[in-house]
Amino acid sequence: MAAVKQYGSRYKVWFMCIGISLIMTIISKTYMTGNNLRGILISTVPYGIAAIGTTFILISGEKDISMGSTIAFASVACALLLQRMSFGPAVLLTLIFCAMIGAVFGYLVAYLHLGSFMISISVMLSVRGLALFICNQNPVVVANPVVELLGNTRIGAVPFTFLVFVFLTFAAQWFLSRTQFGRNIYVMGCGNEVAESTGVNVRWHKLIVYIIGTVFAGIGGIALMVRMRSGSAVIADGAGITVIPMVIMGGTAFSGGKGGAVRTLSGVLLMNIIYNIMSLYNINMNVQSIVEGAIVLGIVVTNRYMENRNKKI
Amino acid sequence: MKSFIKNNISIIVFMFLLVLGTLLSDNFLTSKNLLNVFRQASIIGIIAAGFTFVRVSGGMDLSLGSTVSLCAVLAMGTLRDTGNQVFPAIIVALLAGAGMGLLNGLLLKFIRGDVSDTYLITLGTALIGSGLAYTYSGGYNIYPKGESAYRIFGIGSVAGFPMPAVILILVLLILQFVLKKTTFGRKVQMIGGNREACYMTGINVHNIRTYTFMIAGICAAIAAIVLTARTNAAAPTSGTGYEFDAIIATIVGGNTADGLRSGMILTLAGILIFSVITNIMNLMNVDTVLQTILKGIILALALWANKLREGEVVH
Repeated sequence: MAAVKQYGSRYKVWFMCIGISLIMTIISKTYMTGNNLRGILISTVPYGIAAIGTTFILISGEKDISMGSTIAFASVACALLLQRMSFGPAVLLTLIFCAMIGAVFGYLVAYLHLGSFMISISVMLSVRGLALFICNQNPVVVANPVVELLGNTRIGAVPFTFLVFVFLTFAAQWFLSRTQFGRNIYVMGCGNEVAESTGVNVRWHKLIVYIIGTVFAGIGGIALMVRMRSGSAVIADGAGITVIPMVIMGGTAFSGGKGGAVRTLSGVLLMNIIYNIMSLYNINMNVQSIVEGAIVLGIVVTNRYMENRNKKI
Repeated sequence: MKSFIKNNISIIVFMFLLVLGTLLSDNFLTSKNLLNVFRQASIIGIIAAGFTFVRVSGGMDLSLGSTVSLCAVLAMGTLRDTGNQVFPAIIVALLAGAGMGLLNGLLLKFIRGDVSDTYLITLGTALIGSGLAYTYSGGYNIYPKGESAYRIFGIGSVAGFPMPAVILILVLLILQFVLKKTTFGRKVQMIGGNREACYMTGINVHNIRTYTFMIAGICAAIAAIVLTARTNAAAPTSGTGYEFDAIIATIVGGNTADGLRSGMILTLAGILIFSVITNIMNLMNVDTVLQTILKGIILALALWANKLREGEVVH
């Protein structure tokens, strides 16, 4: 019985995904069709990949809401580079630019000890400005055969980009739980002093964590560019409000030290299923934002209430 | 001398900017331009004044922008529906602002949240606030029928001084008194320093924090009234981005989250630095996109300067 309970709490988000899907299959004709499911899978990819990067940052005990700007920057930068070179070098260069942003971000947080949340606001504003600047505030159209191929390829019934997302998830999970570096990230999340006194080079690790987080957001931006066949500097506005709840819902703690990439995958799937159901029932766009906020608050409040219920303060 | 410079660096930076602006542009040191700076600074300033309370108690409020939007559409909607009755419009806006603050505070009290929870909870209420603003207005701009006495708050003037600036100074004076001269203000500053110790001495930490959020909400509502009175229209996106401007102004002024260094004079200095920089850039025709980048860099620099002043390296 205890084992059942343990599995139940560990995989509860997966069970919720399956449960909601089963209920929806009964009450809606359109939900369990190939097109709709494929739509859900495709829509998870950009924010999902960014969410994995955010998972790294949250596990290390820091905060970040700048991923929307990085997504926009990467989509524009990659689209602009594609006009000058082929797909491979363009992606590589974009990711190097993202890594540079992450390095600056990480340096400010890890070496200058500035508050990560406030710095992420500053990075958010600057990178959004940078994205608008490099494209002169115009959307950039992409006409590249490789992008077309990537966007349309399916392996079996599953879109190729989703497989990339799943592959990245498991790679990240392997890195987090099977390498020493990944383990150290968890230690940092439990407390910098603890990590420092056990011999972890906290500054260096934080810098790398921020580079990983920004590069994942950059890959998410490239995925968004592949899906839309264009790069735009105004997309993913407020992605932070969408991505962080996905990560938290998957079971990564906002206070750090707990979580994982596969858990984030489950959170991403569940949130996208909920968005899909809302659009299936034609819920007004204006009301959707209220529902979204209520979901976010519901997740955060229940999570934290259960954690803190015995605390006095 | 050294500690004087350390403690008043934001005021010194402001003086430096005044000189810089005078040197760079002929139009800077004219009464028209300076009054304009004040007029533009007032809306961000009123929000920042309220946010200072939240900041000093160690919290963060990301819902201020959508509170401004919500109060703006509600005020304009009430004005339209009641046939230009000024009083109900103001009351509705203030109640909505206080309500948003109360929602933040009560949720945080319910989960016994610490500092990092204020980020997430206010992100959630920001979504709800902008959702309510969109739902109430249907996504359209709201215009009242014709002119009314309501517009005094935006375009009126007292002895040649623009009304928004007068309201800003009134708000700053009242809040400075509350923060520095009442037990409530002392408690707010103490909570920023050490929450556990405050709890041990018998201060109801969560209630005090709820009040700080309500003050921030009410200030956002006042800002929304000034904003709508100036433009005589409200959109559900009226307040977008104001939360970040207010946060930047508060931090540039040098208010620290531990309540050690705080006050409305610092906030005022921050607001003026922020708006003078914007003004100088506008006078010099700097691209708005570059201005966004600079805003981010200014925030990072201000955080760094605050850190240097603390003079201690944590771990």
